[in-house]
Amino acid sequence: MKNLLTIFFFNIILLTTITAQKYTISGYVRHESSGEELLYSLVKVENQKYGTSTNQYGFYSLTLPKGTYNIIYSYLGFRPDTIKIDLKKNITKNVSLYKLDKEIDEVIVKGKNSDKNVKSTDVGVLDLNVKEAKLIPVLMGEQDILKTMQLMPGVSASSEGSSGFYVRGGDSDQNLILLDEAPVYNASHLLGFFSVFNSNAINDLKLYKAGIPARYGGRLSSVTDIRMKNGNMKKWAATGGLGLISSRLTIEGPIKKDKASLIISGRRTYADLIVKNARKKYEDLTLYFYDLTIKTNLVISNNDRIFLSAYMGRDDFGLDQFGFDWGNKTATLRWNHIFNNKIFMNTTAIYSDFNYGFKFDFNENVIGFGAGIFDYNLKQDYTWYLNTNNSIKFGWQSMYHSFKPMAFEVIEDNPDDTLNNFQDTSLTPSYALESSLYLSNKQKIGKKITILYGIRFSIFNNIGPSTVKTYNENNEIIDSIKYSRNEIYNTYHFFEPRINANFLINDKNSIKASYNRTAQYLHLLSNSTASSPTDMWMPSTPNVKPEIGDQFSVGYFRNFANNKFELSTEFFYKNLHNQVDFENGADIYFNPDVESQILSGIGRAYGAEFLFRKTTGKLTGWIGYTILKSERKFDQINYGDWFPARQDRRHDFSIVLSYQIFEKFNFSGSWVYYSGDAVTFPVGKYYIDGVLVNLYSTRNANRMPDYHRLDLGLTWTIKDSKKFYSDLNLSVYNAYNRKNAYTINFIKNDDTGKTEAERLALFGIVPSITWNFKFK
Amino acid sequence: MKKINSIIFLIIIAIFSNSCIDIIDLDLDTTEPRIVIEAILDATDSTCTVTATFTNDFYDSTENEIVSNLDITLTKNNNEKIILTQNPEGKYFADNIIAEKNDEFRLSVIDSSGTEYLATAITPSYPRSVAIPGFGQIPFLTVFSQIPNENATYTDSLGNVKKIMFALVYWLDKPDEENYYRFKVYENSKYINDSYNFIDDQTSMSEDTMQMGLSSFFIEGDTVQVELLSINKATYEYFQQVMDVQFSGINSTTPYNPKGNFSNEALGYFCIQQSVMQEYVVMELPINP
Repeated sequence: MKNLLTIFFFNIILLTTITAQKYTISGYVRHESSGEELLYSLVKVENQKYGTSTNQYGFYSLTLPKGTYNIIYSYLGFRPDTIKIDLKKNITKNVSLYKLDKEIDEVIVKGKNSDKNVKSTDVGVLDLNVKEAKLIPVLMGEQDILKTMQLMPGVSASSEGSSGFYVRGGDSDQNLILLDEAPVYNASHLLGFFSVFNSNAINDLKLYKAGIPARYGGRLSSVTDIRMKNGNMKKWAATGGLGLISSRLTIEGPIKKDKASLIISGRRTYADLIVKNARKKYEDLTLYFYDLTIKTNLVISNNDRIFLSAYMGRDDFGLDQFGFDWGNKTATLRWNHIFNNKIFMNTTAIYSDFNYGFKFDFNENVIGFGAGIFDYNLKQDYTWYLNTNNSIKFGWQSMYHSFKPMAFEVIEDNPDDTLNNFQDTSLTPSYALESSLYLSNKQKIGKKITILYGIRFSIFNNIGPSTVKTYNENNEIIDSIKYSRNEIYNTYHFFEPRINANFLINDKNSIKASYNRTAQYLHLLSNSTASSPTDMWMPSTPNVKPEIGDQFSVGYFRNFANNKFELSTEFFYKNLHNQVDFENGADIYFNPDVESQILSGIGRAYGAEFLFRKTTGKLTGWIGYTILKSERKFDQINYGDWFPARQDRRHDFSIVLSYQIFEKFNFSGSWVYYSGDAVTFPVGKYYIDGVLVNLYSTRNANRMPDYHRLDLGLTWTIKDSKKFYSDLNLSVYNAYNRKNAYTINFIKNDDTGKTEAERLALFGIVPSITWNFKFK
Repeated sequence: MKKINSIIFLIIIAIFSNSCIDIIDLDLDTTEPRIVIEAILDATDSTCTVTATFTNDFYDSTENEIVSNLDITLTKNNNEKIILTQNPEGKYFADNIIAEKNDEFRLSVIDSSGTEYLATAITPSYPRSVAIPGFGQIPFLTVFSQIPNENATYTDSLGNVKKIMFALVYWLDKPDEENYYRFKVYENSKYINDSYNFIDDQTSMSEDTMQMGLSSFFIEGDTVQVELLSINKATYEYFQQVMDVQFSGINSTTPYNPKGNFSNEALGYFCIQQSVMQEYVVMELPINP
């Protein structure tokens, strides 16, 4: 495989040297009024097949034969710009696009809609526009880009109101979420109801469900690449919102015009303050979350830029003598360097952590315990725009993980107490190094075929100090070997081939296919049905093997009516190896031998997705449908037979519409329907010690009732002038008050003595109101 | 840990959502009845009691059927055999069983079709007693305190306002052996089964002093009995599983059937225990052990 690739790349290089004289035009595409880079915007040569798009930093490079060209720059929601270029030497051309003005641009845009859906090599990729997401009605008015993503085919909410999600039948821990390239380990606040991403600070979101490019790795099912705004380079601006349970404020502006910018964005909930004053019972309650993002961006020269971004979010819960808090921190330092107009380099140093802690008073002592994961990460990514037909990406990454499992500490010690004999049951931390190398090329072959192919080599080292234990079938330790500090005691490595191909039937129709292999070296320890901040990540070890996934995906893409409508159909098949589950009754919190209770099995998922989307005009929105089957097989579960995974939702349908009724009023609505999760219901009952115990048979043989929900929203633009913008957003979650079962408990009614099925429906109708503003 | 998550979750729901709990009609599958055996050998009072029932459908409102005509034999240390006989209530019983620490007992239950369910257990040691000034030599000490909340009172039918109390128990662990303990609470000799109190000696606060908060609440002035049981490991693990599947609330694990120490897929457990009971009139004591 490696040899083949080498030969291929040599061929390409040879080809470039013998072809005619060519020059390169390169630069950044930006938002005119803020100077913000427009990621993945299209750069096309008029009336020619040549074209490219900006990369994840807004940079493009296009190499063409000597000549005169009209180059069209376009980005959704912006007025396309055509620039005439006389190409007789290498040119740097930075372009700024104006935002669409509805009245003026109605005519201009016609006929120039994006045909990216058909022409890109993206299979199973979702681009979410933050602006578009803003109009969709949400729970408690708190805009949430991860929840908008769940309305697209192939992506499904892990539970009611949750920002956790499943992608194409994969588990919720198989999704890599990157915020400015830093992995975010727990992307939710308040046990899942809100995502950690403040919509005011986000520039772009891209989700890869299949065809994951070689530059990403580490999770089996998907990659969500979220980019923060860089900050306004032209002038100071403030954006914000006041909601019922939370408020947001973002301030951005140039420290030095066109040279350096700063953006600070914060959000805090205050529901507990309201509750505290209203109900005496919750007088001692603290319950809130906040998050803060800061980013600064320096243009050092035409060829060098530096970005420093940081995120910090925390949830805090307290009641009487008890406290619990958890949160993520990430910091990213990035250096973009353009070697020449063909080679773009990005060097990134990243710190990321997630941790939680409990604290309680005990006989005048304060005792705390907690756990966390801490990452240090260094990587380099190169884009080499070799020629019009080939663009090569390569790079490396090395990530040092330190896992701190449950550890105790005495925060305040009462010397008169017996606690001096306190038994420390802290678990020992573990360390690992996860590294990778990748190389990929996007190659055009003739007019019809584009192939993106590449390979990622990933290697995972467990690093001492550590004690590696061997267990027998009764989970008893039969052997243990001690390793010293910094000693590498275990290594896993995998080659991960990735290939995407696009066959263009004509301008309006294409067929695409992809295959990718992914390896996942970290596993989430969670054996409960709802997501929780105490779910902790652990590394692969000699006893717990890395998860491996193979996915095949093929799709048909078609655009109608001047690209106004997009249609895509995709089919996929996934094979999953070394999947993780737990023995019945496994103790995953204070257990030094938790590895002995981890089961290893296989999985498979297959299905189809349909998406019909309208991206321009007064009426926009989409209809999505997914049909899916996802199964798992473990020797120790269900007598070794295949059983449905919890997320085996056979049908998943969503419709999202946004309609500009009048100039100042926008109406939106979304309706979702999915078949119930696979769950295990009792088939009988018995009593132990006088207490009801349910009898179960096969794993996940039953279904929760079907889920459906309608949300409605109305946005009234109160003012939209040159200096100031404000709108009022009304939204209604669960408009027809459907009682969707969050859990079903099987209990005994103490009054009647009868056994009953008790449903918990989390949300009835939830109306909310949010006021948004922007000082421009 | 899961309990903590559930509590926080419930508070979040209470604050943020207009949730609703109701009873629904849900069709459930049924299955062939399976045998459930609860066998307790009390080494302190030298008796063994076995209850055997069949599981029934979840919505079945009749009592679980008692399994009769079982041949139940207890074998001590691989030689001495004791036969249990069924009493009029359907329970199988034997007394005068001498069980000392580390004695191994094998319980064989054979049903009318000839299927044998086997379980083996080892006799745990008798709890250690402790000398407390003013109390003498006692097996454990129970301290009642009012719940630290001004509203923690209860008004009885005569209009008397009484404090609602919680209890902490203190006892000594036997060093150099693995011990598993359980507390049972009785009100006027009636066993209160709404909560379980299990602990192993790994979770002690110090080397040999054990402390546990009982999960029941008490009313000032009531007479209660608190029983300390020293149990075998299999029973401890079995009840951990029962609690895991039945009491974990919203943050529930994937359901499963707790697996006891019986062979042949019989549900239930075989427990050997040592027991000691103390009676208290619930009141606040001015001591801090």
